[in-house]
Amino acid sequence: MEISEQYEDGYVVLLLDGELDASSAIPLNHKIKDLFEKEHYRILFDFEELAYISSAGLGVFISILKDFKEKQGFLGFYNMSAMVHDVFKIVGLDKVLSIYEDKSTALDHLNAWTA
Amino acid sequence: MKITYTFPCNKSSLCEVRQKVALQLSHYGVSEKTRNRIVLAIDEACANAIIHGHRCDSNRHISMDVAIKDGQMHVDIYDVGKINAAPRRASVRPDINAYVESRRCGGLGLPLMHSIMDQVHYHSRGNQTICSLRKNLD
Repeated sequence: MEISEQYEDGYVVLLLDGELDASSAIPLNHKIKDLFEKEHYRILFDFEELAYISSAGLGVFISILKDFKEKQGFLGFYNMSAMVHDVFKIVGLDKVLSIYEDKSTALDHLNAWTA
Repeated sequence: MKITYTFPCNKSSLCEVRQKVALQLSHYGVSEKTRNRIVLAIDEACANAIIHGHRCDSNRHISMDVAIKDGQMHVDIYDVGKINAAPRRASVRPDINAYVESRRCGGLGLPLMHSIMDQVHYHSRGNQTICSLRKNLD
């Protein structure tokens, strides 16, 4: 899986391209922790090119959620395929994470949240 | 028809396993959603065997039988050699809030397998651990 980042005004977008499984979860975890240590607490995840996710991928987001909440951070997910969304729903993670239809909607919530 | 796959105990094997199983399922008219879910459950079982059973030792191999008979999918994953140390107790729907509170990054594989498959059963035969998955197909 390839991870690319875009630094925007007040937030970072991480674009995930490929398959997020036990093999690729660790580099993503390192990337997010690196952003956290650099005090980037507002991250949007663009899943448009994410073709697959397993429990190892879900675990990355579960393990960081509390740290970002404690920093009043914002984690948003958008452009999620039905297949990937289904995996979030199976374990109930869709009730815990902020999942949006597209970037525009995610940004609306981010802006409302920071206002 | 039963197909046997053998692959090294390396996390990078998982992608190929998923592709092969998805291809096999595509020949049986299984819906895309069911196919994706079954592939996920198998991926989780194989990841458990690779990571917990063999500590990602690429010199070891895992074999897996996949067959569809009488409307049911049969998957048997054989840990050859060291006993698989993966948790085997059946799990109910996980308490996600508890996972978040404890910053837990693992432990969702088995609940996913149980949510997707009709049967998940770990058992031993000699020095082998066998993970048997069954799914009634729609």
